[in-house]
Amino acid sequence: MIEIFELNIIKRAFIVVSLIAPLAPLFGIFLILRRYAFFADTLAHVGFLALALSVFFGLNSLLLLIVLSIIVSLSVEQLRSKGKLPAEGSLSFFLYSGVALSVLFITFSGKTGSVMSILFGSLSTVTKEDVYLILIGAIFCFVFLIKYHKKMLNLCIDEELAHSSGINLSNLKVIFALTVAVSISISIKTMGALLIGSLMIIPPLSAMQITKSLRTTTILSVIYSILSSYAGIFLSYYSGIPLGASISVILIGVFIFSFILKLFR
Amino acid sequence: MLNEKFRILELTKKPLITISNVTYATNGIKILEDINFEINQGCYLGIIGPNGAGKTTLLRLILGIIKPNLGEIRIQGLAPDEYLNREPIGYLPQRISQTIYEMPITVEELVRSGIDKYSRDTVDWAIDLFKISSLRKKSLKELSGGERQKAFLARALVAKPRILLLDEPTTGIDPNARDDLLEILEKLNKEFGVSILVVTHDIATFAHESKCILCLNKRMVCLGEPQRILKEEYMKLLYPTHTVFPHRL
Repeated sequence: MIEIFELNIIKRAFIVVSLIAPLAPLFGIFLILRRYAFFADTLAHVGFLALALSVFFGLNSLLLLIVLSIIVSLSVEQLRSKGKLPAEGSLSFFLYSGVALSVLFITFSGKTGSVMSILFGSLSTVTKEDVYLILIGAIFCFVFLIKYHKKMLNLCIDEELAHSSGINLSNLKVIFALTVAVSISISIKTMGALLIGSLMIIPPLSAMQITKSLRTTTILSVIYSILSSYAGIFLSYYSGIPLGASISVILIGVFIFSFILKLFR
Repeated sequence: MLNEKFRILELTKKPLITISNVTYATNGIKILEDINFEINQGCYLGIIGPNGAGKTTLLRLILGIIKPNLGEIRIQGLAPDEYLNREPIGYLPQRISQTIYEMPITVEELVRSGIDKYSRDTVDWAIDLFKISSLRKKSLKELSGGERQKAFLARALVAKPRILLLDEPTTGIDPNARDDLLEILEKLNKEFGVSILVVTHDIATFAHESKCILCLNKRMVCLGEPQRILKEEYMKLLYPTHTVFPHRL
C-alpha cells in the first residue's frame, strides 16, 4: 500500500486532486443553481478539442486547453446574453463542434491511442510543468470564489434581484464564465473530457439529498469530492480503470448512499 | 412633464424619481408611451392597470433592467445604474425563478445574500420585521407561498434601501398574511421614510394604504390621491367592461 506513494505520478495525482477536488463542486453548485450544468459539458468537450490539437501540433496541451476554453466560454456567454442564439443551442453547437473537430485532428495525428486518457482521465498525463499551471489556475479560481461568492449567489437566486442590489451582471457573468473555463481546464487531464462534469455536479447533488442549507451543502459536497477523488486514485492504480472513471464510479456510489440515507431520515 | 390635468396630487417634498417622456417598445410593439411623472421622497405609490398595461415594465425601467427607447429616468438626479452603484433598491419581482426552491437555501441565507457585509443585527432586524424568526433555519422549499413572500421581502429590506419596488406583493397570499404585509409596509413608509412603489391588481386594498395611485394603460391615465382617483369615471378608462366598485352603484 505504502509503495504507491513513492511513485511520482501518484504524488502528482494527489497534489492535483487536492487542488481540483474542492474547486469543482463549488463551481458545480453555481452551475446547478443557474441551470447551467450543460455549460460544464460543453467546455469539457472543447477541452477534448484542445487536447486533440495539442496531440496534432505537439503543443503544450494545458496552456492550449486554458486559452481555448476561455475563448469558447466567453463566446457562449456573449451569445447567450445578447440573445443572438438560444442558450442551449449555442452550447450544443460548441459541444458538437468540439467533438467533431477533435476526432478529425486525432485521426490525422495517427495517435488514436491517446483518446482513452483524453476522454476518461489518467494518472500519468499530468506533467511536472502542468502542476505549476494547475496551481496558478486553482489560486485564480479560489480568489474568484472568495471575492465573488455572494454576488454569484445573488445572480443565481434571481438576475433582477441581483441587479437591484447594484451588482454589475454583465461583468460578473463574464468573470464567472472565464473562471469556470479555467477550473475545467485544470481538471480535465485528471478527470477526462467526458467525466469532468461528474466531479462538478455529482457531489453537490449528493449533498443536497441530506442537507437543508447552502452552507452545509457546500461543505459536504467538498468533503464528498475530496474523499471520492482520493479513493479514485487508489481504485485507478490497483484496477487500471482510467482515473476519471474511477472517481466518477465512487461519486455515483456516494450519490446512491446519500439518496438512500434521505429515504430513511 | 406631466400634463396638468393628470396632476391631482400636490407634490411638496423633494423629487425622488423623475420619469420624463419615456417610451418603451419591444419587437416594434409599444409597451409604454410618453410616460411623464415625478414622485417624491416618502411617497407610497400604488400602480394599477389591466394586464399588459406596462406596470411591471415601468418598474423594470426604474431599476434600469431595461432602457427606454425615448425619454429618461432619474432617481435623485442620477440614471438608475448610477443610483444603484451608490445604494441598492429593495425589489420584489412578480416571479422568482423556480430553481431556487429546488436548492437547500435557508431563509437566513436568502436574507444574508441581500447585504454585502454580514451584520447579525441587520439580518435579525429584517427577519424580525416580517415575524419569520421561527423560519430562519428552514429551507425555502419547505415554506408556503406567503412565507416565501415574506422571506424575499426581508431580503429586499435587509440593505435598508430608501426605495422599495414591489410587483404584486399580495398575489398568492392569504388575507392574514396580506394584512401583516400591509401593516409592515405602512410602518416602513411612516416610521422609516421608505418610499414604496407597488404594482397591484388589489385596488381596494391599496386604495386604503397608498398615498397616491398611478393608473396606467400603456399611457398614463391619471395620477393622484386614492379618494380622488378611484372613481368609476377613471376606472372605466382602465377597465371599460368591468365595474371596479360595484358597491358604489
